[in-house]
Amino acid sequence: MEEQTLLQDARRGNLEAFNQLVLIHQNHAYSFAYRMLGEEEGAADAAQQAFLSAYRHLNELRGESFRSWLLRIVANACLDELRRRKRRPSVSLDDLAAGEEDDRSDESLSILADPTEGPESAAVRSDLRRSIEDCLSLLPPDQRATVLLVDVHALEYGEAARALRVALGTVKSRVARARADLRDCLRAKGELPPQARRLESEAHA
Amino acid sequence: MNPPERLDPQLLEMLSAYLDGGLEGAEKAALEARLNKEENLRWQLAELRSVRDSLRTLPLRKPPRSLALTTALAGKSAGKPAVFSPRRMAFGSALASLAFVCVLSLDVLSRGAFLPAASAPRSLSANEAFSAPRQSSDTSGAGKSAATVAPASLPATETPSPAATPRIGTGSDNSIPTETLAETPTTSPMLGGGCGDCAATEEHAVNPPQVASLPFVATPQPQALPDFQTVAPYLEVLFALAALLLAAAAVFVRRRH
Repeated sequence: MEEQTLLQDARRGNLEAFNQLVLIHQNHAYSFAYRMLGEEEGAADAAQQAFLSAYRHLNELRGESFRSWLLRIVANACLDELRRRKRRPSVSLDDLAAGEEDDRSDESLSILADPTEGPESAAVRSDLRRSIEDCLSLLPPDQRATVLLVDVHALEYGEAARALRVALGTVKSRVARARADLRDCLRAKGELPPQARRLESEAHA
Repeated sequence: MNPPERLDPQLLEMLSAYLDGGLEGAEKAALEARLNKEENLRWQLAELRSVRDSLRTLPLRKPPRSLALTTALAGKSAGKPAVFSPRRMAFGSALASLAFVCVLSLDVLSRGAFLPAASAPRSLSANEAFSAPRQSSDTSGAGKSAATVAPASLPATETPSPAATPRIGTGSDNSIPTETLAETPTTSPMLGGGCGDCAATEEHAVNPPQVASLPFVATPQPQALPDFQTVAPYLEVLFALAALLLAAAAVFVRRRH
């Protein structure tokens, strides 16, 4: 069923139609929340709260794609949560255990995995992915949210600016700084993305 | 080869925007000209592109559980804001402010009716209008029609009508300036208090030429005006309660959100 039809039905109170939308967009919402908050349960809670908020305020969605609107809600919820954590830092043992489990497990990453990919290249890819996520977690939250929205979730600069309630120029400079910081971080880990490594080896030759 | 030198933030921003097709016209041409000449810049661009492409292919994660909403979780139908939604509470806050302003206004109006002469306006005002019926009831006890006697006996230039209220007559309010009392014509029915003034009142009542010679004759207000004074305190309390309730609800909702 088309997204617009689902939205219309959901606006009339059809929870089943809304849950179809949840199924379509939950990976985006959860991935964003996970990379912002860095732990599974908190990310799942934040994403579900965002869906709940979206469901209750569906009539406020006007002239914008559902995904970008949803990501805006998730982004603000995550930034609020990070500010709250900064004010009252508390890391439970469960969180630590969950974090370690995340590092070891790639089960949740099977969505875009290429089935034709050999084990060696899959391992390299997995290492690079982990390094990128580690480096992402080192970025300041505002920069992280911006680069995730633009580069990972493919929002336009304007959409990202609306989502984060900042000026277009702010989005541009945050994205530039985030990409440069990620590049530096990956270089320090010896994990420059393949193209750059190729370029580097060409330069050596 | 060593890693490329760091770029200044402005150039970095331009390179990043160029990657996303965000540069146009002269700006784009200028950057492309530099890219043709400067190897370091080409290197920087290649690295940034590589980072961006890696981010773009970063796989999405599956949530550990379904994020679908259950009926219990959804609670109510879509699009219908909660009774105490922040938007409604914003409107409630505005109403609370309005109610507060109403309380203040009512308070000022009702207090104004008892203001001493010195602070009362010199022309006929609402204060005079409120005080007039009181005079009416008091003077009628003296067997005269106060509607014609009391207000008419007050010269418009020195209108001390609020001072003519029973409160002042009892002498309980000491805030009346002495000069005001001195200026106040002795013909005022209640200033002297007691029945000693009745004679003066009568004197004015039976002396129409003097009344006629006054430049301004205050017309007594309709009898409905005392009702306002009676109702005003209740209205004040009502508005104050409304303001309090709305403010409490707003605080409650803000905490929940």
